[in-house]
Amino acid sequence: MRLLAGGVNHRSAPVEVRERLALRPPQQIAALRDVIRLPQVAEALTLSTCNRLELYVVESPCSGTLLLDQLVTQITGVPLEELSRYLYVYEDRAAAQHLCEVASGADSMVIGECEIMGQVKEAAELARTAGTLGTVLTRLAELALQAGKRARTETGIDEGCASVASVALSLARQICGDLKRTVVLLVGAGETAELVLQRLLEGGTKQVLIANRTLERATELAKMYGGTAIALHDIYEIMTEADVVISSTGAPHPVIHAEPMRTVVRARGGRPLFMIDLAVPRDVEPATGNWENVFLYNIDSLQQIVHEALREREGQLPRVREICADQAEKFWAWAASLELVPTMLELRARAEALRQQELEHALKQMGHLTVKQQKHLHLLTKRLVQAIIEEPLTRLRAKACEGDGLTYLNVIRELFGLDRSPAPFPPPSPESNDEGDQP
Amino acid sequence: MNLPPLLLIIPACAYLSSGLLYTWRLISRRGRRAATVGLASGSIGALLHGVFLLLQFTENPPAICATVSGAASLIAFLTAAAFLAVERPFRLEAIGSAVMPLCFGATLYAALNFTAPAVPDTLRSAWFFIHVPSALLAYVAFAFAFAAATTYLGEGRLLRSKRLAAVVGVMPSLDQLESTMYRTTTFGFLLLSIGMATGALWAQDVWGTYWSWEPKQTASLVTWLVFAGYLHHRLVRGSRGRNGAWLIVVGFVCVILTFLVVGGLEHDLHRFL
Repeated sequence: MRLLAGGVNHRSAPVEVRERLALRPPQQIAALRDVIRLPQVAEALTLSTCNRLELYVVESPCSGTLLLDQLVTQITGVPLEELSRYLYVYEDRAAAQHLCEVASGADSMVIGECEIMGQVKEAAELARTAGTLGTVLTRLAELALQAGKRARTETGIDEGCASVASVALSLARQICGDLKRTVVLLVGAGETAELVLQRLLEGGTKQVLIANRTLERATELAKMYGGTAIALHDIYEIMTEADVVISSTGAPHPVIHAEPMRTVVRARGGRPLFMIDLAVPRDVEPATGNWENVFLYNIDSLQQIVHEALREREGQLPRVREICADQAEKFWAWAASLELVPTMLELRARAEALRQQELEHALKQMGHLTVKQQKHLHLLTKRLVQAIIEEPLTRLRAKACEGDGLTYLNVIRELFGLDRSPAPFPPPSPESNDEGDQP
Repeated sequence: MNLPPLLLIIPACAYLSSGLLYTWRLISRRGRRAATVGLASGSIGALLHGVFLLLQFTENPPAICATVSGAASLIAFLTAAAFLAVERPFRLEAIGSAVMPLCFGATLYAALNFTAPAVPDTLRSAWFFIHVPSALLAYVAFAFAFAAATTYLGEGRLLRSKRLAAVVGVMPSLDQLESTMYRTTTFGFLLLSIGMATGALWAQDVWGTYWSWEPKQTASLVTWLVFAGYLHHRLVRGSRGRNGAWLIVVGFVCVILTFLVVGGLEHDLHRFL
């Protein structure tokens, strides 16, 4: 058995290439059904997200080598010469480890993000629907998802906040506690501000207030987020009630000044006020952050936190890779045990056939032998074959338990010529048996 | 059987290691297991401490709270037990790094300064059963409020210096800490008021005067005023935040002074507690 994995990801290919390669679920199913028709392919799985397209294939035995880059060309329609620059291919254990690393988020653009787990699960489901998911890839997907889970519980790869919006959410939770009781004030509406607001709304808010230079835009946004539009000059008054302020106007000068905030802070009676200034140039005068119980964060400080979290996650990568190697090892040992039994049976059958053939030949040559003599010859050959073949098989079984069974298995298959088909020796026929026993 | 007071060193050490583990949890990002071990260590300490107190009680009932050291030991036990019980359900493990060292200090003090109880007859009164428990429980509540307040101040500082990673998933929200501060202080204040009122009535019974400005009474009054100030601020002016937390810290320092310094003074009337 051979496992092949290949594809492109955000590191190997620019977005222009990736977007041409991306496959929607129906296309993936069609592609999988296409691929499985090839005689060399036993099982197949595609993983298509915005950052990667990958193809996992299990080669069926005894049918020649498979070229993965050709397969990818076939399913995506991107010519080989262009694709080969971006394509990476992994084989066997490395392929298994790659899927584990993908599932654990070690290979993601934002390290440790957890959507990838769901995407791997969906990919397996798609392949199942397409009918191209066999025992091998099912097991591989299982072990890869397990690797993802282990990476997230045993290491800190998913710790910390990996985006400005999630930093804002964490801070809001930490400062205001239960978000269902918080009043959020949005001043101006940049793109990031909306992302942050959406994230806060996930946590639940009591009320959303929106102030903008033009009331029209404020009303429009208010309609979108179920909030109330207010006039920009009312913000100080409103801030005595608000708990979270997100500011992102395009104004060239500060919109919220430190001095008027003195009255606001006093009126709030020490309730903490969480202010997020996403605007450049800044909307909130930096001195505002010096007031008691005001927690002011600008875009730089939020991004700083994101960078730190990502650096921290990167530090976890060696440990994650260890886990993935471990899972790949498990997969490989399992795959070896899967192939062990047929190989052992095949080897025994091959030896038995040889014995029968040679015995028959010898009996013919020797002319008349008594039944007792024939029986002795029979026993002799049997014992000889057993003595030669059982030792390697016992050792092979032991190696399979240790995890490098597949290597040995392949060597045995190679040395005994088990992959050659059709078998050079005809299977023993009952006639020949009878003939041999005849006096 | 006479229990050697130095045995208290054992629970004291358990409290200390528990406190250190809780602190490790706060400092290290990967110390999740430390809090669990801290909880276990503290629980073992509290269990041994409880057994010690029980034996002490069966041997000589007044001994467990009729001397400064006895009261310190009892307060430490009650604080530790209460904290370990509420730590998980209320997700308050962050304040363990303040609570457990307090328990350690009080227990160690009790172990090293053990004084044999000499309970004068005047103390054998029904008032004892209201005055002493309410005062002790008030101190326990104030210890909690103090731990929450210091954590509140620390967390505010970390958030201000943008060290989010040190806070998220490790400390409760500022809001939760603030309400913990408020509730425990209210509870403690009520108990302290009851303690002081019953103390005055009791004093009238045995000494013939409600109030005599002796050091313990005076110090208690100062403590009472500080916490009253906090509650006034919080209730009447709706004020929360750092100032309140600092008032609680000051109030707790008063508690310690009342308890140790004044309690330790050789004074005729209130020598025992």
